[in-house]
Amino acid sequence: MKPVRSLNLVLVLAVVLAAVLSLCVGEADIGLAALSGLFAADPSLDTLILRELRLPRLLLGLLVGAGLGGAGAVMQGFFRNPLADPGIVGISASAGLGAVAALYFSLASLFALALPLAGVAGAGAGVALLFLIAGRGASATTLILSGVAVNAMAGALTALLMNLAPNPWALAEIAYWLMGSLKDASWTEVGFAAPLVLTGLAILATAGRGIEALSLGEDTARSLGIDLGRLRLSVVAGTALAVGGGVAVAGAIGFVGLVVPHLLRPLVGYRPAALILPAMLGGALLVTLADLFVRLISGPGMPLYLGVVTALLGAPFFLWLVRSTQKVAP
Amino acid sequence: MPSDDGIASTSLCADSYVLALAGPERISALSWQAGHAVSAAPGWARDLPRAWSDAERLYTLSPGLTVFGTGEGGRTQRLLARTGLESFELAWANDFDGVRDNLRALGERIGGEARAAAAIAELDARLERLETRTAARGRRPRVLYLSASGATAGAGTYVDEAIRAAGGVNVMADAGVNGWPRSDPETVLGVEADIVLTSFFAEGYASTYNHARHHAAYRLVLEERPNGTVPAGDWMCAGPRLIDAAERIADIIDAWEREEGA
Amino acid sequence: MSGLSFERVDFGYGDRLLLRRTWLDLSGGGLTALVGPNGAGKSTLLKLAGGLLNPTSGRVMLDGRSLSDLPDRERARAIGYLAPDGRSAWPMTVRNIVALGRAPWRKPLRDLGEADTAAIDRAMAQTGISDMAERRFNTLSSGERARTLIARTLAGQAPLMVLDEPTAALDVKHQLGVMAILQKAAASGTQVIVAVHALDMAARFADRVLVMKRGEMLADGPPDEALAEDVVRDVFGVRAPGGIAPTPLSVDGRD
Repeated sequence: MKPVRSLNLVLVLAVVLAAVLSLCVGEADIGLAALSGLFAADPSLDTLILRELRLPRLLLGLLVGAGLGGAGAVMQGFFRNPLADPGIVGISASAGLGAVAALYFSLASLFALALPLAGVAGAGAGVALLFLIAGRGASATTLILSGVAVNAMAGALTALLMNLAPNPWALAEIAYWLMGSLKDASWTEVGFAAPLVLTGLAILATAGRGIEALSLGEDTARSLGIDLGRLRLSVVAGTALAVGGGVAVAGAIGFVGLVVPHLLRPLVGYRPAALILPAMLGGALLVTLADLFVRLISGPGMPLYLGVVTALLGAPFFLWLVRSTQKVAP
Repeated sequence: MPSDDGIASTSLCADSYVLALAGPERISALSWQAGHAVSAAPGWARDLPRAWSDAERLYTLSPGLTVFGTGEGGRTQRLLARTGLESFELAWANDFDGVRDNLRALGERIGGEARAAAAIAELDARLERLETRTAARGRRPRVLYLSASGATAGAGTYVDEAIRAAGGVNVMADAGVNGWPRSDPETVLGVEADIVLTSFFAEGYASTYNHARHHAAYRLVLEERPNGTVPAGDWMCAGPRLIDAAERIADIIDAWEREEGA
Repeated sequence: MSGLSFERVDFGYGDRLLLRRTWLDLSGGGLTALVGPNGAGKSTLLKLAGGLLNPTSGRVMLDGRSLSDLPDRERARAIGYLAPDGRSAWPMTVRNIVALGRAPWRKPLRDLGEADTAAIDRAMAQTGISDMAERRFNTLSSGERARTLIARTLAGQAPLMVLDEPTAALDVKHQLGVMAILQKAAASGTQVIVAVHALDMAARFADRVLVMKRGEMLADGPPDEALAEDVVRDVFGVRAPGGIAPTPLSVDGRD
């Protein structure tokens, strides 16, 4: 499949370029030469900034973006609907609820992976709830409405926690956390998120065969030897890990799983399986570029939140997408 | 990582503590809000480099000690630790005891125990003077605190502490309210307050949600009763300037007493 | 040839039986047409034959083994199933749709191999859609779409093909085209079981006709027997003097 291979190559190249840009640009403009001192005993300021701040932040952004893009592609393939996105169907909100609850009840300090696991648990519950409400072979309308229900549920419980916040400052802390940010990410955060997100990505990759066969419907897929129960499980587990792990360390970053697969789908001939890897790469690219923008625009003390930026880009896109799919087939 | 010996603070609250305990020669950066009108930083401080809670910024400044306001440390503080930069986060304070604890703790941290003790002594002296003023008055007026967005302060808050220290009765605490609830117009109309206290924010903090100014009930209350304002910079948090707020409230109470015709 | 048989198969939910005490020996090969009014249970029977449903009681056997015991892949390689609703969720090219039929043969995360490409090309040639290989599914006419989906089923190279109403909603010309393709496939060794609603098409193209009504098999045999006048009257409530005659229509000009 030559065209897809070259697409992946182009995306990898783009990611590498964005990564280099991201490392060099910021408050302090740093040349890549500073990378040479990476393991030095007494690193220069530039190397320090690169090693302790920009590199982990970059890696976390790549992980979060890949998780969102891959989960979006697989969900859209599974639900046979281009509007499925972890944010729209409430998975990000559920993951956020899990993490906020862990913070609120001071569970986050119990053990190292407590917070990301809480995010994963929240995401898993959200996906399970979505499947429960939407049922089998859900139409576009049913899926979106089910997503609205999951979002409402997660939002209500999160709002309750915010309502019960002891003082306005704690409330603000939760609110800002929910807006999504990669600010001051360190190797600790990368170490938390990486195992979860990478496992999720691996599981999502195995769903390709199944979601491709699903293009012609559930019966056809089963007749082609696809175990739908197992496929559903991989979608749930893969999404929960890939999205939940990311949300737990970076807050709720939305619309990546909607925009990226949609833009790349025509380039892979609309084939659901072929879309998965490019979507992961594209998601990583989008988040890296958006975060670069955030770092450049943020003023002293008034940080711009990554989730806000992706929402500002993604919401109009979503509106346009709904309109255009309405015209083709309601 | 090499650092200067200076102290940097990342927010207004931290500014106030640092300014109280360290002389100009020891301060290398103040918060990004230090130049705003609401800040109480002295003129010379406004020329200092700015600091805020961002690791890259703080790495670049490399201060000897970074002072964070409550809850501002988070991931930034951990990142500073990785490169051996020292930091200190103020504890949450609700009252003057909390202010004393913070002053003592920060004083110890920067080797300024003597200065901390002096600041605490001054604080105690000013509180005593307020007590005297209170005793000299006939009665304690009922005070209602209303922020620009309609929030009030009940018992256990530093606003309550300031009102009591100034010789007033906090009507919300009296009504059994704890913490920082939003008020509702009914309560505000129904409560019997002698003085309404508002806090204004100049520039930078202009609230678009100016409930208190627009809602009829609030306007009524503000127009009917004598009111006074305390600059927000005095009490962004329970800090060394809380006593200033208390003194300002005491002045307002004195004015009210005169109006009432003793 | 493959030995598919139904041994006393019941299928239903609760009290409702969609298929009643059905015995069938389908090991003969050739093209078998399944006809009956709506709600007769044709789709149910075909799904049971394809292993998509498990009998409530009784067994569906394939070459001496119960269908429900077969691993998914093996079953998929043995039986090709065409669902009645011919839609694709995504506007893929004809070639990629046909390639979906290779799923039971492909290794996970691997590209299409030589055998796969050969099977795809052959299936497209059999259905006469080779020149449309790069066209998008949603731009095709209903006849072209039907042929594409049949090619998808053929690409799996299963010895048994089970098709649920592939000619529904097609123009007469396209119905004839589809039936001709299935007849040729049957002639070259694939066993075909196909549900049709046009009785004259069944009469013309089938070697054997199964007539169903309300979950029961009411006739089973060559067209002139199974579609005789009295059967047609009982099952469909219409009068066909002399039974159903094979359709005299044929496609004009090239295929």
